[in-house]
Amino acid sequence: MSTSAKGAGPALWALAFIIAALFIALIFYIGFDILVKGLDKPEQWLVTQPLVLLGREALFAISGILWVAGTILFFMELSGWTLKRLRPTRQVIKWDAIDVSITALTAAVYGGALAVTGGIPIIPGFTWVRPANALAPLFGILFGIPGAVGTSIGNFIADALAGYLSVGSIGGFVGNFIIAYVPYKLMRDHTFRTPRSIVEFYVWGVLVSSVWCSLYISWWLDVAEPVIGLPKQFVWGFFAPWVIFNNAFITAIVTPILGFILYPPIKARGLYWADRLKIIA
Amino acid sequence: MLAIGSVLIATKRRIGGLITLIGALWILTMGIYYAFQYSRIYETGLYPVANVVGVIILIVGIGTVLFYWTRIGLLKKR
Repeated sequence: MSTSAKGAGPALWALAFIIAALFIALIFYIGFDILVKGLDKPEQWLVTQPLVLLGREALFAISGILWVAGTILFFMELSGWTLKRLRPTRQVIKWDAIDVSITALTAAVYGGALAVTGGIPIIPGFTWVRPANALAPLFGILFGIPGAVGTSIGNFIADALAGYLSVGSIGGFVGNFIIAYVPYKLMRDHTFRTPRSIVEFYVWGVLVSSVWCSLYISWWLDVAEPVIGLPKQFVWGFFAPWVIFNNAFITAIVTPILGFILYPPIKARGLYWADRLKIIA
Repeated sequence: MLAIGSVLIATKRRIGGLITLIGALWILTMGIYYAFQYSRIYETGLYPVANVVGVIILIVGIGTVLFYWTRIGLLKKR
């Protein structure tokens, strides 16, 4: 049950805005830190330090667990199962013409919007400046699994347009599903109209989804090094921290605004995922 | 994927539409990739071409789906 906007007191609103402001300030600080230290010195970035502290072995182990969990969840959700209170539960996604068209729409919008900035590479062949990342959690929050699958396909299309299609794109396929899936599944209130919704978004939609996506793809790039050829040190020392920042930065700023605007029309037209999904207890 | 999706649609399985869509978009993606590679767009740095194709996909995708949703009356408030 979601806390209604009317029921939330000023103190709760103030707390939610303070948490949101802290997240945004931290992200800006990380961005400023990257600019000051330079794109060529990723080992000095603030966002890299937790990864350096953990070390490659620990990161590989943690990311491996996240990779297995993410992959299982991806296939579970597509085959009509989900986790409810950590128990596998049957769910019915209609996959009718409307769900399929939602997937097509989100794939086209996400793929097209990512490709628009495809000419500004950060790590040539692997990632680029991606402001359209803000759409991925939004599509999950509004459309659920059809939206999350759309972001996967959209990322695949963008990889092809930007010339980055490789074995690494397989990791990107599920990794982008995770960006959309985490806030869809773990936020309890998707309205962007309550303090709870805002705090949940910053925790799950910004922090957890960005880190999980980055570690998921990085683990895949590490394992596939003989095929892809990106050195392990580069994967964990540059790619992983950059992807965390690249996802979190634009998501923290743009997605709540888009969500606040788009939630009512999507809900009013019966396209919101909770109005189309049936859980079988 | 396309073939599997078609079979699933024919046998009236719920997931058939999605699998077919993934298959169709996969073929589209690979088609774009090989067309760009064959025409050396990636090597020559003609990124605006890729960006323009991205914008076309964006507009055509939104247009097609909104046209379909309008036709089935989905865009009216419930």
